[in-house]
Amino acid sequence: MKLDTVVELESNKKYYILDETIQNDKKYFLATKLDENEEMTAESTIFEENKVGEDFFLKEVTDDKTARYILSVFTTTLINEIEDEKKED
Amino acid sequence: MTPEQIAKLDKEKSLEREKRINDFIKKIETSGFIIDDYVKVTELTELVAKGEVKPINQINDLINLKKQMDSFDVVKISKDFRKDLRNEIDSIVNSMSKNTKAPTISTIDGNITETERFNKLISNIKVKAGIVLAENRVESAVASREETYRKIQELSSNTSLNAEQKNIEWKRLLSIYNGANLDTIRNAKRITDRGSSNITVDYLDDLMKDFNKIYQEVMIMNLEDNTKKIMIDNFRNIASTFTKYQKMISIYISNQQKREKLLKYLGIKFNKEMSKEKEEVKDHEIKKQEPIIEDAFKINDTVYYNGKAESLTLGPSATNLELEIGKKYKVENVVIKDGLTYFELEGINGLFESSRFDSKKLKDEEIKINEEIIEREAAPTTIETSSLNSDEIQLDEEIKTNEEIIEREVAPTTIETSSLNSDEIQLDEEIKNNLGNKVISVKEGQNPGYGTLTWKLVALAGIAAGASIGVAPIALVSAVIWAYSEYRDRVDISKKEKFFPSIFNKLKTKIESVDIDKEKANELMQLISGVDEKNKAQGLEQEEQNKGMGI
Repeated sequence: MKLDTVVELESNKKYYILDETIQNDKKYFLATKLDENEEMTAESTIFEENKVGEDFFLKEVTDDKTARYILSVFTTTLINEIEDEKKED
Repeated sequence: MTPEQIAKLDKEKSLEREKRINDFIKKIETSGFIIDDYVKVTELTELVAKGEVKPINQINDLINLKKQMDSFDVVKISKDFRKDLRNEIDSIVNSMSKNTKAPTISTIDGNITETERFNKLISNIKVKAGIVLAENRVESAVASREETYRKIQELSSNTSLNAEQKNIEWKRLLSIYNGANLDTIRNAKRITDRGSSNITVDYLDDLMKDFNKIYQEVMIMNLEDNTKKIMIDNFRNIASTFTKYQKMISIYISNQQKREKLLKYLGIKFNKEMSKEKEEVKDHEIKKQEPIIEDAFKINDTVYYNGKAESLTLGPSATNLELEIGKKYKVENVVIKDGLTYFELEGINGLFESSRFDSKKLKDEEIKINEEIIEREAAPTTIETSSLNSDEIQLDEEIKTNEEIIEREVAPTTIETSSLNSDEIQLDEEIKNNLGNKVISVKEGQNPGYGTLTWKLVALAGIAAGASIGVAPIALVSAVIWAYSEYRDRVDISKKEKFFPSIFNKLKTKIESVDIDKEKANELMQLISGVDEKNKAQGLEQEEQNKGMGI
């Protein structure tokens, strides 16, 4: 599982992996749902990656505290990226 | 020698023997000890009677040791340690600020510069060491609770509301007073409590390891030679500080061991009555350190499941259990685990977190209000970036706190199966639920630019706008708005931002519905309005261009 990929889940839903972070040995992804034409939608979510053997599973983070924390991490990364771009301008 | 002389000598010897024994026992009693092993002490009295000095020397050693240990104030030493460490860290920060070399991208974290990485490391270590406290936040949280109470007091004399409105407002305030206000105090106190924990050898070892890691990282940063030299001195001073306090603690531990050995040799123990006064003082100190808010529920209390969130259950038999919202349950036992209070309920297996229960049955309307307030007043998530000065929020601190929460609360879902053939794995439904949805295909993104900042912004803003306050508190919302505003000012994202109008409408509604400082709310609304205006202007411009192009 890596960034800038389209993943299709068993539920037939497709997501675009926008960002990732590893926290406490767990990988989390920021992902946006894609429509049937694989166009971005307004629906985004945070997934937790689980691996069993060769299989990957994505579980939506529903616990408030975890979601808040991971959301903070992604937001901070984004702010840093924006700041960095600003410096480069 | 005449028989009289012999008798006199015997009497003197006997008196001397008796005196030695009495002196020995008196020494034991007056020094704050009582006899624990009568056989042992009797044996020692024999030795003392014969004129052997070892037992007396040993008790003298024990008395001196006790004096030394009594004067060892671990609370004060812990405070001194943190004070010294704070000064050393300030020196490091000061040295780094003088480095004039341009900060390069961190080799450890490619997303940030070395300066930012350094600041993050320092911020984290300060929190871990208990140097960054949230005392002010505890005070403001307490003040906030008092303010809620004041509002309740004023409600009676409020003439602008009718009886029904007053009742609703009272329930709202009461929920804040007994719920969110308390949570905020607890959270702030948890951070502050780190600064009041006593240092131990393990604690110092662990912290020193972190400083070593920081040192290694700083040494590979792009620093001037002179800055690097000063840094080496700074870190050397930190190492000396650790050595100094480790030595103090080690001496204390060594004294403890010696004391135990001496007590065993002498067959005595501390006289509890004599140390009772001291213990009472200690108890008092401990009580002072206990959480401000005591748990309201006791064994045999009747509680009502409030359905605020999915109940956190522990124990295999409880995992499939569904409690009914509003239903009455009897508390059979109260268990404290990892700082959280859980109930054992009558007739039901498992442990249930106490915050999921109320002491009285709530009406539907109250449950709704409660949920809203919980969302609104959830523990303050803090974000600090150089650009969010007005928020005065500490993201690193929050991340650290949350890391602990995650460590404690996230159920481990990674299954070690490297040696298993995937075909052989039979996952039952429950495990599957824990793992999430299986990924059936992965392919490279076809549409270029999807992974850009714009789309990350869309995703994060979308989540922040749609999520509950528990997930995206107002600090996080303001961070996202700021990010958008910053980015929007520099980059033309009009073609890709079809989602933003609806996202910002949601954000507006969210800000309006949250009970936050008016000034802060206005600030956020202005930020959104500013962004809106620019969007509209750009939209019109685009429209004009399109018209011009005959689109």
